[in-house]
Amino acid sequence: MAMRAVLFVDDDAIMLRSLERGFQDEQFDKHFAGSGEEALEILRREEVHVLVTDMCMCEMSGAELIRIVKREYPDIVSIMHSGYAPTDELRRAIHREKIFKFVCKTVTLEEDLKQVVRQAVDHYDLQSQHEKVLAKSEWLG
Amino acid sequence: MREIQSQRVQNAKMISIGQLAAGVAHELNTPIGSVGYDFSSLKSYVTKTKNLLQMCGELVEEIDTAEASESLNKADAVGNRCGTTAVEVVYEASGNGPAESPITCGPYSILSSRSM
Repeated sequence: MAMRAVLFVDDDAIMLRSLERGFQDEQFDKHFAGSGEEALEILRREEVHVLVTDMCMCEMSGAELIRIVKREYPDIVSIMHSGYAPTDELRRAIHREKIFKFVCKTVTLEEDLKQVVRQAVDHYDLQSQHEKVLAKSEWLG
Repeated sequence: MREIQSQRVQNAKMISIGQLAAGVAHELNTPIGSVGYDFSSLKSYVTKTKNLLQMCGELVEEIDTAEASESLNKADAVGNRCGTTAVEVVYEASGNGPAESPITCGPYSILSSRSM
């Protein structure tokens, strides 16, 4: 199986560096973007399977980025990583955009965030296997 | 009518306070989260370093010091013998005859034996 890739997006450089340090030993490729535009640029040239984005960013919000990603790369599993507590509006966005998980920035790295990202990678694998089985069954009639 | 207006003002105030609190929480949660993640990374670095040091300690313990010292003595003796033979050959070749005093290995030893 090809190596999976995770894209982390946050406009806070210190948080992005902390994520880089925290995830350096994980068994997947890592990409880091400081804005939504930079993330879209990376998505154009790299194959990404999981997206972890901050919600509140200066130019393009995390919700906006996820909306574009869902439209252009529907297989990517998205995780919202935010300093805000989930509001009703956010909950609706989570359901509408089929966001895999909402993770608050105050969670622990080892027990929470890393677990959620690993689950998202597994979810991507399951999803692609499911699609392959479906395609095969359709072909068989 | 006045009461309704006062309630509306009160509601608007509560909404503003709520928004302000959410903004402050966000501003605090980001650096707190970053520090928390860094502590976690630091903890993992410390564990890795500790494991490496432990492995180094185990390797050092595995080295048999008595055996190592005996091997070094043997190597030293062989080195000395080689040096002595080489110098004696040089003396013989130069026609000076055998060295007057026992010659040990190393440039300093050769010099001191010549001066004697």
